[in-house]
Amino acid sequence: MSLSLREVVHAVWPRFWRASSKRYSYLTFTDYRPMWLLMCGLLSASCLLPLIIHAITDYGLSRKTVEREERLRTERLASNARRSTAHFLQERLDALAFTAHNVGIEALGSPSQMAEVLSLLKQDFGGFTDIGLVDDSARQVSYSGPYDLIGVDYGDQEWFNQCRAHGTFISEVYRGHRDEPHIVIAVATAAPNGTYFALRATLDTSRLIGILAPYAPADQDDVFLMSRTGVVQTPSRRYGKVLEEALLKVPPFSDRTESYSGVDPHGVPVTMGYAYLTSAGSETPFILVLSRPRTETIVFLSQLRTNRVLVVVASSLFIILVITVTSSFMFNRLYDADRVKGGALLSMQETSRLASLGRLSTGVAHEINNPLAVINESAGYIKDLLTMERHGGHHDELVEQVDAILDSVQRCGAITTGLLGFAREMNLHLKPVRLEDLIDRVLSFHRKEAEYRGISVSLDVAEDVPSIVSDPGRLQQIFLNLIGNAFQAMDTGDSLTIKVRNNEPDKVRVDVSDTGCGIPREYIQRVFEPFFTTKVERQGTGLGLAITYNLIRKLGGEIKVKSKVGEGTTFTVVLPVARGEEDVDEGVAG
Amino acid sequence: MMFVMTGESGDPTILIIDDERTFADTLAKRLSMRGIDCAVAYDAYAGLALVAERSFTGLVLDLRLPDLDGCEVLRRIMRLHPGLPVVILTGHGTEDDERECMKNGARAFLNKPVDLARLVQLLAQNESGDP
Repeated sequence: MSLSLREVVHAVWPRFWRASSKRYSYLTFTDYRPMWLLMCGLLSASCLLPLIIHAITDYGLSRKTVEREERLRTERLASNARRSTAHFLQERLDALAFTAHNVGIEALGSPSQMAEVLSLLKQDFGGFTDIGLVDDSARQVSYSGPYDLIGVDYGDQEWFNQCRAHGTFISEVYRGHRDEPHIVIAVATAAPNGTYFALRATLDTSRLIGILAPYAPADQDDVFLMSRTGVVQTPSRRYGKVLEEALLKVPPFSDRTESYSGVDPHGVPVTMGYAYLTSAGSETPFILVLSRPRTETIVFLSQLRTNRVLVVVASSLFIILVITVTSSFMFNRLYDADRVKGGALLSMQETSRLASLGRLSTGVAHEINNPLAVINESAGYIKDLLTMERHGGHHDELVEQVDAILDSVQRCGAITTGLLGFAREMNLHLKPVRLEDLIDRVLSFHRKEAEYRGISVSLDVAEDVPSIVSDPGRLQQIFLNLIGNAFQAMDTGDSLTIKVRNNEPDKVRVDVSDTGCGIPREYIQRVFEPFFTTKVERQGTGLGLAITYNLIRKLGGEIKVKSKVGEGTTFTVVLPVARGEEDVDEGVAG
Repeated sequence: MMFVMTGESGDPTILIIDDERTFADTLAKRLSMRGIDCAVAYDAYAGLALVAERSFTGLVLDLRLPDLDGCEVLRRIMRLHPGLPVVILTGHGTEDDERECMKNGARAFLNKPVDLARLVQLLAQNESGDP
């Protein structure tokens, strides 16, 4: 199936967009465009809002999960590195303590024995550089190693006192006499003679560095030890040289492995893990630091975000397209239906106007033709008398015929006057009117008739009904017509009720209800048309209700009719309390 | 209500039913001056009573009568005297009225005011055509 571009555009963009701006009363909306926009907007908003909110929250959750995962991984890695490092130090301290206890101070005092111990330690554990025995007076009495350190006095060094106090000692990394980064570990123990001695060994840091290396597999990862005073202990890739101040601050103390995300001093986003090292329950001077750049995570998250945005944009476009096409389709249908309906209404109005005109002409013709027929016959008769009868003396009869002609002419005149009065502008004479008095006066014309025909009449005026400003003459004419009609519709035993109410502000409502014969449904629409009458008797011209209708319109009021055959008719007249200055179109009603 | 006028030459032969009294009376006078005797009724029931009572050679009938529709009067008369020539004479009859009346056996359907000569002609034809 191939669609032309025009069809596609019309499916999306409504047809009425460029329609003429003429406003017809039969249209469902005064202007379709804002309604169409409103519908598209509301539907789109209600569909897109949840979608967007969901995408945002979902992205937030994913990001949190990923970050948490990342921190946990770093923490685990740091924890493992800490355990390995602590184990390394502990193992060497234990070896030293074992040697001190089992070899004994006597044997350790001999240089050859000491050399054997060192070679055994190197062979079995590794990492040892030298070993020495320090006696009670802090003098190194025995030593084995690459340097000649026998007789060195450590009395002025902190480690000796600490070792004596705590039993073990682990130093920070330092260069010391040999200008080679190393760690001193020492254990103190009592000799059989009760004196105190310490076994002191130096550890090469390269073994420690080798232990840490696997915990920083990636190029950008960094794992190293720093001292509690903030000095770099083992080589760091990014945070300072060995035995120099670290670029990182000393993290707050914690007895477990910690991790956090942040930005390092180089401005690189990283996940950091750290742990204060302890060995056999006692503190060491080291803090293990593990730093992993977040590059991968950030790339992953940005891809995730891009994906989400793409999905949201694509689905939004699709939703908007579907909504627009649907709305346009519905609105186009409605618009077309309205136009068809409008065309039908216009032609119906035209038809009914013509029909009304036709009925008016028929009515006028009928009403005028009867007196014309009389004139025709009378004039014909006069001519007959004058021409056919030889003898004169028809004076009386001639006068009678001329009277008939004059009477008929008057009847025609009354009809044309009625027609003109019905159409012509009438000057209103406004003054305050008490409807109760006015209606009462009109009813008084029918009092005798009501008594005679056994019709009950009641006038019910609410107390709060105000006087209205109106034309009393016209009002009288209106109620004479309505009440007159009611009397013609009623039979013996029927009743006429007139109710005056002030239900709406600034408006007075008068209901004229009779229990007479009622108006058939098919005539209800036509009762206000001129010359429309169902009365068989030749009473009136059929202009009564049409004139009443126009009078009420001129007074700024409205008239409605409700009726049921056999039950009666109610004419409801609503009049303004004060007559406004509105213009009422002239002419024939209907 | 009814009024019967007997013409100079004996029994009335034509009945005029029309509630426009002046018109009916004058028409009756003019017809009688032309040798056609007339009776006049001003409403439907009076007219029907006369039709039942006497025999007429023709009928002039208005459609709008105070007590009964002219078409109904026509139907009833046709039931009593099928073939009686009836001329409908009305103020302004619609085409529907005309169709209805012609269907019910009216001989002619005329609008007022009528040309007397034509009416006389029609009634004369009716007289001659009366079985």
